[in-house]
Amino acid sequence: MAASIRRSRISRISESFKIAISEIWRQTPGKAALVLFILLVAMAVIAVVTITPDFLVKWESASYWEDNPVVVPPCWVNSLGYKTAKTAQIYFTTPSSMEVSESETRYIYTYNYTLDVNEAPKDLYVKAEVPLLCEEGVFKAPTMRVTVERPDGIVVLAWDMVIEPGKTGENVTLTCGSLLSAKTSKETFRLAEVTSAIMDKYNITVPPEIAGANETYVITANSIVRTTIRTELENKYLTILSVFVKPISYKISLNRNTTILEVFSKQINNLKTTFLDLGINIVLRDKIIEALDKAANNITWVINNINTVTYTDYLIAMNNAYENLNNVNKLALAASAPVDVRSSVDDLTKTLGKFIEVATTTPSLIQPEIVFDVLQGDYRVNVTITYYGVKKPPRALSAKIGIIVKGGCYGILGTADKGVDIATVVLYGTPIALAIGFATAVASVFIGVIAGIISGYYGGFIDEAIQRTVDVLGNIPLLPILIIVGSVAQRTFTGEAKSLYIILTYIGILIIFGWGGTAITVRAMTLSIKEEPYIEAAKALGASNTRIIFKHILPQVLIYAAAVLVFNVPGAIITEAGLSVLGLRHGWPTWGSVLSSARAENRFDVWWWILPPGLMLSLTSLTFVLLGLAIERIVEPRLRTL
Amino acid sequence: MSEPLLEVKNLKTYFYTLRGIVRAVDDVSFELYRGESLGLAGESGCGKSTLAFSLIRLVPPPGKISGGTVIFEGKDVTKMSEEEFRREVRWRGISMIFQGAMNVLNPVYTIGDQIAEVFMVHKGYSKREGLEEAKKLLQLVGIEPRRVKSYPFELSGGMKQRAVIAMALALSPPLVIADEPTTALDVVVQAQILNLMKRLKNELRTSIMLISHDLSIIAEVADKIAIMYGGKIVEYGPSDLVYNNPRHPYTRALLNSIPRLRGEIRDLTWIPGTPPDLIAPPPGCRFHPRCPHAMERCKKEEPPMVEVDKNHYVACWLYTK
Amino acid sequence: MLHAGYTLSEVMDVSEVQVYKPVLDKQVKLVVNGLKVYFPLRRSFIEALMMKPRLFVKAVDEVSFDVRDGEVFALAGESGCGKTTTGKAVLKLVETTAGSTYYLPSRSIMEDNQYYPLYKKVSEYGHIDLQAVPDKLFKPLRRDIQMIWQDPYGSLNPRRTIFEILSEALEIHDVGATKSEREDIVAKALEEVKLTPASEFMYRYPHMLSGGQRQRVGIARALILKPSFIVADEPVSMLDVSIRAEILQLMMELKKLHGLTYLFITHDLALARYISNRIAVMYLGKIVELGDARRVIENPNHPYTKALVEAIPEPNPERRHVIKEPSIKGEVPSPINVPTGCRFHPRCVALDQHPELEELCKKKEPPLIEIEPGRYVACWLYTKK
Repeated sequence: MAASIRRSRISRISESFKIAISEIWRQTPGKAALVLFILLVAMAVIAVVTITPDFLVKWESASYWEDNPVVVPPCWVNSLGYKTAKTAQIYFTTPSSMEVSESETRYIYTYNYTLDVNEAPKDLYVKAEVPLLCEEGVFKAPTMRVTVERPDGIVVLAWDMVIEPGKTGENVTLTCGSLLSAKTSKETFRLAEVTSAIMDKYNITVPPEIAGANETYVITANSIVRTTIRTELENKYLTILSVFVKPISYKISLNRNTTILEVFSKQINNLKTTFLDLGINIVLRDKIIEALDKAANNITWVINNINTVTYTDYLIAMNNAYENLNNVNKLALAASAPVDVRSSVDDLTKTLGKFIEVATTTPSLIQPEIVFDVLQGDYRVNVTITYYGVKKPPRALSAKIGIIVKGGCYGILGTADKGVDIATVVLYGTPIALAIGFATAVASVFIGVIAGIISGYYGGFIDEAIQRTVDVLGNIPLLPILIIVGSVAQRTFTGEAKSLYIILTYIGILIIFGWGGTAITVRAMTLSIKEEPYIEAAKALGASNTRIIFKHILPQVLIYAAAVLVFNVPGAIITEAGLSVLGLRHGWPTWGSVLSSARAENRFDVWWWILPPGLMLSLTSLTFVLLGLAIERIVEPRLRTL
Repeated sequence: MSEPLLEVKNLKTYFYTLRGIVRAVDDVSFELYRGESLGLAGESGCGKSTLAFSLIRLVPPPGKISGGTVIFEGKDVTKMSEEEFRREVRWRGISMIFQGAMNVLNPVYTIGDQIAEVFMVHKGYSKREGLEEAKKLLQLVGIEPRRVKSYPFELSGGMKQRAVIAMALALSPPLVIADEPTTALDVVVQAQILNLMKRLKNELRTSIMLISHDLSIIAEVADKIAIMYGGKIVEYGPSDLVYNNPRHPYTRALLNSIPRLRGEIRDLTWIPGTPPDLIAPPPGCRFHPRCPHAMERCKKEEPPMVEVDKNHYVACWLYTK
Repeated sequence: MLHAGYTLSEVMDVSEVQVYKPVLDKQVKLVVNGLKVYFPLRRSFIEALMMKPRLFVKAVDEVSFDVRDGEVFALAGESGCGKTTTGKAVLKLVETTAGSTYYLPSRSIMEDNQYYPLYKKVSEYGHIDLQAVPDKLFKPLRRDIQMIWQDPYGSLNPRRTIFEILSEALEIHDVGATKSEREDIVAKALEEVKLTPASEFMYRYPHMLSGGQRQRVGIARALILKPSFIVADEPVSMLDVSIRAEILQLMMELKKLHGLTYLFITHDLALARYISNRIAVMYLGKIVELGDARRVIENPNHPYTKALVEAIPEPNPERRHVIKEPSIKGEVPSPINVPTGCRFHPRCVALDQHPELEELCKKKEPPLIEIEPGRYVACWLYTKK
């Protein structure tokens, strides 16, 4: 008869759970809390599902993130007006096209990149992993050629290299099909060719009125210009980025400063005066004077024509002066001039010689001023892998080619030092944070509830003991203990699970010092429930203490404990973050570790490095506090009507 | 006989809750003359406490006076501003002894201070003057004046109740409302308190409105009695008439359910069922589901108040044609 | 029983008076003899150091009475007189400081219960010494002695359904092997207390029931294990007046149906007169008067009973014209500091009229003396020659 209204325990629990959720939803803090909570859990689930096991170990090594630009903001800043070059990380597994000829098979990989901002990307390189194809046991290493077609029409041959088997020091046995890898670098970049191409295209030559007529000197002048360009490209554009620049203006001028010439002139005249006073062979002396005069005239000629002299003429004149001085040297020796006089002449000669050398190798006499700027437009990168002597090349080459252009932005949240993708770490930090928070909260509340109930229900000595323990624990300062234990843990734990052990140690300490608060409140609740008439009624029926505790006291305490648990979750998360920032790192990708690396690098200006983990910490705390508030409001009125 | 001291006409006090409108006091009317005492009897949930709070305008939200008038000393106090009511009427004209009154005393102040405060706030007396008045009041209620220095925890339950009565009498109000003033008191102490009230009636001509579920203690004090049920007054009249000749079936049943200390032992009666839900009371006469004499009419129409004897009114279809 | 210096014979003619002594015979269900329940007050550290004597709240201070099988015995008095503590002591819910309780279990306990032979017997009829039963063996007796509680709101766990509350009793004593068996037993119990249809009440929570209905659940809980002795602690005092009689009627019907014996604790003398066979009036931990309920209340002997009866109001409007102060002085003293001799003497109006008894009343505690067959008073007034 009564069986028809039976309701199973499970349906009742799920019913009350549903009611609880709807009650929480009814309040505004509850709504916000539930939304945020679901968001966090979703993030954690996504993270757990997508994480690779080696992430935890590898995430701190630079090589894991090597393809990312370093310390760049997220790409959506472009839409806010802060323009950056985009980052491209293209990985090909199939070639865009294939060309087969008698002796060669070429696999071509093409990528179009558009540069639409006035800032060059930060890096450009190509990574290749190609199989070794061989024919009848014979193989020849394939080559990789990277060309870039620029918007201004220049086709730059950036790299042309052989994909060598094995690395330095390694003894690799080669078999057909084994993978060879190669990566382009600054060192292998063909800067000379790029420079030439640019000079050709933009007609950067020394104008004849500057250069002069002598072919040699013209070539010399141009090579000085070339060197200047190369230096500029190496210094300002990291060599490789020269691919992305063009000259917007250039001026090649001759240094028309006469100061040093006048010094020379004066020195020659001094020599002349010296020699005139010298008592040496008159014939020789006259010849010396003559030579000195000629040298002086050379220089004077340049000085007088400084405004119109060409490079050629300048150098010819200087060379003549040099010759003349050389003669003076010889004549002085023959005339047995005093040593100091002879060394003066020698010095002057050497100085002049140096001057000429400098003038022909460095941009001192010839002064090129080339201003480069970013060339905006569409670029096309072509990577050609060429195999030699393969008769039957496969259509689908099992090679991996990566074309990396490191722009000025990356990802959803940008990158930190070493190119760490902040979005990834923040995402993967979520389940770790939640796990730490929950583990600590659940354990400390669990212990607190047990201790509180035992303390309140049984009283006496055990009550005193537990209360004093809580007093003592409450008076020990938590932070110094954490710091001390953390430092020790960092040094003593080794091995693969080192990070895990360190984190478990932190959690352990937090639990030890955290159960006290709950215990005291639960004790108070137990004391008051114990005095209720229905407890005495149960005793009159013969209920044992165990029964009273588990069936009458515990259900009410658990509701309160749920609220406390939720409130306690953010505490542990923030403590772990704080410890990381203080330097007690454990090695796992938590939000705190991102903040701590920002602090370690002293990069406080990088908002995208600091804000996301900070925001996540705040939001997580907010979620649980709001949730706790909502639960508390539901629980409180019921508690009062008890 | 002059004007009534208190005239309540069609008073309605409703609580506007999420579950619905609780009609705690639903169209209640009665009058009280100076020096007369009225007993308001009813069981839990009949609205008598709400009625008391309405008269002194301390109905807690979400409740409020939703209709009718309360005319006290000729003025409609429901229309007054809170400010005016507080200044003129509350405690000066009408004071109240709350249920569980001994808990009303602040444990950290002496009773002298607490009584003196009434004078300091309402009449601007100094503390010394207030304490003088406090001593006089304590004497009046039967506490030794030197106990003006005592703290509440030093007094017994009965003495605390007397102290609270002293506070209610401080400004000599013509009307004192006492809501279950003797709950939790010993029978002996209860008798002493009731005697005190009788004396106050005689000596000071104070009108007392005594609210209780206990018809016995109302009989000790009240000249008139009103029986409340389900937010309405069902019977109302002089005590002598109502107690000796109760008309309403509820009144009868109530009187018959009290075991008597003296006289013949008769079978006690009881009323089956439960008091009505004040959000959705039964249609017609609210008592009809529990009434042994319920007729068809009772289920549909609310009976009006009719006079069955001199100043004795009943709301029951048995008495209306 | 008397203090040094006086013997009973010096005080009264021994042959004329009979001091009350409860007798164990076949009709007697419960005997309480010399029961003392003292609650120790915690001493502060200093007081313990100074070895000050411990203070006690003497809640029950040597109480003796007997309850006959099938009767309603009222234990009456004002709050703080010790009546509730006495009731709880019978159920062994509080620790007894001294004295004994002898109880005659029901037939089914005597015959079927495996623990019964283990209990110490104190009479040929099978009375057992409850205080001597060790805690672990007491549980089966709880099926036979049960309690109805005063507070219908507090005595039911608000978070459990009615079924769970009643089924708890069954679970504790392993009655009903399956849930559906227990449901049947609970349903029958609910029907017995007129909460029908039982299915409507079984799965409700206490706050969905009225006060009267809750108290019925309390009664059902007390009866579900089929006891033979019930301690009812003010079972109707927290209910509306108009439904009290219904509950009392129910209790009386059930008593008849199951052959129950009630120890009825109340402060309402009018109610006690109405419902009980015999009554014991308590004051400050002692019984001052004991006898047939009607006679004690209609014709009280002890000055305290007299004062109490006078002070009780009646629904008689004539009384408002009469101001009669109750014939009692002062206030109830604290049970920590019980007055010497007759504990009522500081308040006794009769003492003022009989100054010759002053010395006796102040020094000696009067025993319960039979003044008529079946009527006992503890007052020196009734020992005058």
